[in-house]
Amino acid sequence: MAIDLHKFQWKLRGWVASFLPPCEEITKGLSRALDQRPSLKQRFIMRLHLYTCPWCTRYRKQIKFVDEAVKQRGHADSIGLPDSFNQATAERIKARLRQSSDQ
Amino acid sequence: MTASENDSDFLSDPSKWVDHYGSYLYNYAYSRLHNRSAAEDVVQETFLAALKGRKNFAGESSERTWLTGILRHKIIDHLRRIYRDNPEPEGETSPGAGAFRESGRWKGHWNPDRSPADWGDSPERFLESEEFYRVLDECIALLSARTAAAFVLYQMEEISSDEVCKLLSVTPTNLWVMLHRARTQLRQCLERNWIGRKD
Repeated sequence: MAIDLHKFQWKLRGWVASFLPPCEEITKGLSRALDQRPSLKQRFIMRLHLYTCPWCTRYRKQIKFVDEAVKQRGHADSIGLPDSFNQATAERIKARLRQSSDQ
Repeated sequence: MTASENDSDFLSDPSKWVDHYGSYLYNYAYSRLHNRSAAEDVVQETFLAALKGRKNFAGESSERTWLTGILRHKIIDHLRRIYRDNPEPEGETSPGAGAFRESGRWKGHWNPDRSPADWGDSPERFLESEEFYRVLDECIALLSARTAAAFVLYQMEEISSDEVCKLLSVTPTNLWVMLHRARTQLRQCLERNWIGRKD
């Protein structure tokens, strides 16, 4: 009986999904919603779609994480780059500074 | 050395700036521009501007904060110069090429083999890993240059969408498409190169 209920749930979700905009449209809306609050109608449609779609639910969570990661990267001072600021660059800049301060 | 103790000595010897702050400023610039020579150029411009303006340094903030403030303006100027008088052409609007089914009853829905994978309960733990940020840098560098610039200015520098549109000569609609494209492509890239690699 439990298995039948599970099947019924998925059939219901599939049926609901067939009336809603497809994932491609919903992902655009989910991304836009991070920048601007969507209308009530848009929110209702997205909520309903997310109920039917585990992949868009993951997409939503993951793009939120992408935003957060990029923000954090902006604060992460100490990330060592493989070929970062080297001695030759430093000397070049020092020479320019000396030249400018003599003028 | 603290700002209050040795400001006069420090400011009188700008070559010390490079040893003290060069690496930090370069990393800051690289994380925004993802281009080594551009990062070097803006750091150099920053030191030269600081040299000219050092009399105006009031000592209210640390030297590093002062120099970072100058650098931030140089980075924004650098991006503005690249995209000024060079409006974004109307490009493709769907960044997820191949990710969605192209025909049939479920047209526009995720392709099962391209749908988002499970990243576990708390991807936030990745943010503690230096290696993660290196992968993120590589993924950002793979975006088109203007899309990367838009995402960096908007997310990292927290510049308003109106201002980003002006800086990069794009329309608001174009900007939303670029932000969506950046998120979608970064998500895919991290899934392939970080989530996939960990297992």
